[in-house]
Amino acid sequence: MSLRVDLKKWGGKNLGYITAWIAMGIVLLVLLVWRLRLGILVLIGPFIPYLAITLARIYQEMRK
Amino acid sequence: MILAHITVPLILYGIFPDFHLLALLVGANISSLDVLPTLLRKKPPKESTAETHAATILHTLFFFAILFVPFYFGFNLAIALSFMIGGFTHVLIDALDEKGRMLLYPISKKFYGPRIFTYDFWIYVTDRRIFTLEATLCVVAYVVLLVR
Repeated sequence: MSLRVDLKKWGGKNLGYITAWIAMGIVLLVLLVWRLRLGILVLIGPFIPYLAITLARIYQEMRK
Repeated sequence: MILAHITVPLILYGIFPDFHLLALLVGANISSLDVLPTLLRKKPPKESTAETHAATILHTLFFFAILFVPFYFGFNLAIALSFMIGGFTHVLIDALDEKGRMLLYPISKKFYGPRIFTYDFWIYVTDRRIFTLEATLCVVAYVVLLVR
């Protein structure tokens, strides 16, 4: 089954999870930047356009 | 899984110090490039497991086994092995979800796996059991990064 989610409603209900996931991800990213230095660009570079698309879609969804 | 694609290779790096960290991480994440059609779609398919994501050659063990050869001749054994092992971790971790993965590709295009976790993103991120597992892996990975 695939869920169709109302992002605003879902986000409000699961704010704790969202915050925790983002916090874990940011700490991981900071530690990786610290360890890999410029090498981090090889890792995240291909995904930057994906991140831009994702953020644009979240923005569109939130404006509905 | 989400952060596990970073944390599991990091834990492996902690256990096997001879691995090349960057090659391990790139190998473990390059498969996710096939998520593009999912990001661009207008609406979700009726069955989330019918997504293009994770149903391409990028999510097969075969892909990484084949790439081992050019990586070995282009770089060295440590980088080639790290890239391949990293790729294997991605495919095998993913195979734990209800969709499974094409583990026997190109012999078979069937999806195999124990089907332990949900494939649906929205259910996944709010499942307490999954969150606990990912958070635990994350803490171990932090320790590896800080100590090694």
